[in-house]
Amino acid sequence: MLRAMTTAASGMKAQQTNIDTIANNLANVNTTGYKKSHAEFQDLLYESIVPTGRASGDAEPTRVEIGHGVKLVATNKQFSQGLIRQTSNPLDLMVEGDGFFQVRLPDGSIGYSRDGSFKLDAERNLVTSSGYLLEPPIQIPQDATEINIARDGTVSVLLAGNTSTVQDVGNIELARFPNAGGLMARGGNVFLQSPASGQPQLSTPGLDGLGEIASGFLEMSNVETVEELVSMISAQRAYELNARTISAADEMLSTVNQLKR
Amino acid sequence: MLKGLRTAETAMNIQMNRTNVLANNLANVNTTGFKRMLTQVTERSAAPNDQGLGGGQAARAVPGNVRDLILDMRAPIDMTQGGLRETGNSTDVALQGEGLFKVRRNGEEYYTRSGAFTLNDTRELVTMEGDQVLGTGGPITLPQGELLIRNDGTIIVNGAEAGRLSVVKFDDPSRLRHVGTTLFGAPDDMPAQPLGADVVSLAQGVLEQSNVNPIDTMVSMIAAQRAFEMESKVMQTADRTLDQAVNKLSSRA
Repeated sequence: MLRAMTTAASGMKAQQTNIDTIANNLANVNTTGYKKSHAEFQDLLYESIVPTGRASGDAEPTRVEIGHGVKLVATNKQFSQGLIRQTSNPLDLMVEGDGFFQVRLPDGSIGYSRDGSFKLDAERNLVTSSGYLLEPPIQIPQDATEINIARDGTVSVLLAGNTSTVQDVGNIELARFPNAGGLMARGGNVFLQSPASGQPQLSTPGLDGLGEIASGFLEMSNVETVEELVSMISAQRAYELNARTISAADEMLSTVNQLKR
Repeated sequence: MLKGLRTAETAMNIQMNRTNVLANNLANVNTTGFKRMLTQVTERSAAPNDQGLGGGQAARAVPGNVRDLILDMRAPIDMTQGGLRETGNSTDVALQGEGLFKVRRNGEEYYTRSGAFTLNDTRELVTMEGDQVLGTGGPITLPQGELLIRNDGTIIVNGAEAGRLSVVKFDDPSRLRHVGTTLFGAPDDMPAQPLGADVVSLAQGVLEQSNVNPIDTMVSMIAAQRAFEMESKVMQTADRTLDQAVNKLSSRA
C-alpha cells in the first residue's frame, strides 16, 4: 500500500522540478543569449509480483508489474536561435547559427557564451557585461574613432586623423561542441565545458559549420512564453493528481486501521 | 466462514496492487514516451471445494455449491499512441502509429517509444540516459552540421545520408515488459521485426507524450479505493459473524 504513496511522492517531486525549470525559463524571458531548459522524465524500476489468489501452474499471462514512479533524467538545454534585437551598437554581437563566444573567467578558465553584448573596460579591452575578457583578447586603440566587426569576426578600427586606412586589431574566434546540450550552465550567461559536451573546436566564424557574426544585433532569449505557460499548467495539474493519489492511499490505510474494532 | 475472510483479503490485495499500478501511471503523466499499464481484474471460480460440503463427486452435483472465488489481476501495457508535443529540438523524434526505437545498453537491446534523444561527447545519437540509439547499421554517429530526420527515419546531415533509425515491431506488444527509464524489454521467444521504410512514420522536432489519461486513471483509482472499502466491510461482517458464533453461542451453553 505504501508503495502508491512513495510513487506519488516521486511524481510530486518530479513536477516540482518541472515547475522550477519552467519558472527559471520564464524569469529569463528577456535575458540576452539565454537558452531554455526542459525537464525530461523517465519511469523508475518495475517490480514483478505474483497476485495472491492465483492457481499454481496457471497458463494465463497474469504477470503484474508495479512501477515505482518517475524520476528526473535531464534538464535538456535547447540551443535553438533566440529572437533577434537590433541595437545599432557595433559592440553588440550576435552569432547567426552554431557557436559560442569564449570568455576568460576570473579563475583563469574559459567560459562559453551566446551573449554578445560586449563593452569596453578601463584598458579598452572587449569585455562582457559581467566584466569577463573576450578570448582571445581584443584591445581597441585609444584614438579609434570607429569600430567595425566583420561577419568573419575581424575587428578593425579607423584611427583619428586617418579616415582612409582601416587597421585590424584582432579576430574573434568561436567555439562549438560535439554536444552543446551537455554544456553546464554556470550562470551569468556563461556555459562551461563538461564531460558530456566534448572538447571545444575553435574556428573562424562562418567556417567549419560555425555561424557568422552580426554586429549591431543581440540574440535574445529563446524562451517562448505560451509554450512555458502551457507546460506550467500541465505540471501543476500533474502535481495535484499525485497529491490526490497520496490522499487515496491514506484513506485506504485508514480503512485497514478500522478493520479491527 | 474463514473462506469469506480469505476472499475479502484477496480482493483487498488486488485493489491495493491496482492502486499501486494506477499511482505509477499518474506519476508518469508527463513522462515522454511512457505507456500506461491497464488494470484488469477478472474473477473466476476455482474447482469445487471438496472439503467444504462433504467432499467427493456427489457434492459437486448439489446446486448452490460454494466455490472458491479466484481473483486475478493482469496489468498489460497499453501501447496506444500518446499525444504529440512540438519541441523544435532537431534530435527529438516521435513515432506515429506502430513501432518502437531500438537502443543498446550494456550490450543488450531494449526498445522505447521515447524519442527524446541527444548527442554524447563523440556525437553518437543517445537517449537521455546515454544509451546508444541503434540505426539499421548499428549505433549512429552524426557529423557536424544541419540535421534532418525524414519521415521514414532516414537521417540526413548537410544533405548526405548518415544512417537510418531502426524501428521495430512485435507480434504482441502487450507482452513487452517495462524495465524502467522508459525502456521495454522483449521476451526471448518474441523477436523484434524491423519495420520497412514504407511503413515507418515519424516526425522530427516532436515528442510523444505519456498516454496516461488523468480522468480515466482517477476514476479507476476512486473505484479501487471504494472496492477496497467494500471488501473491508465484508471482512468486518465475517468477523462479526465469527464473533457471534464463537462468543454468543458458547456463552449460552
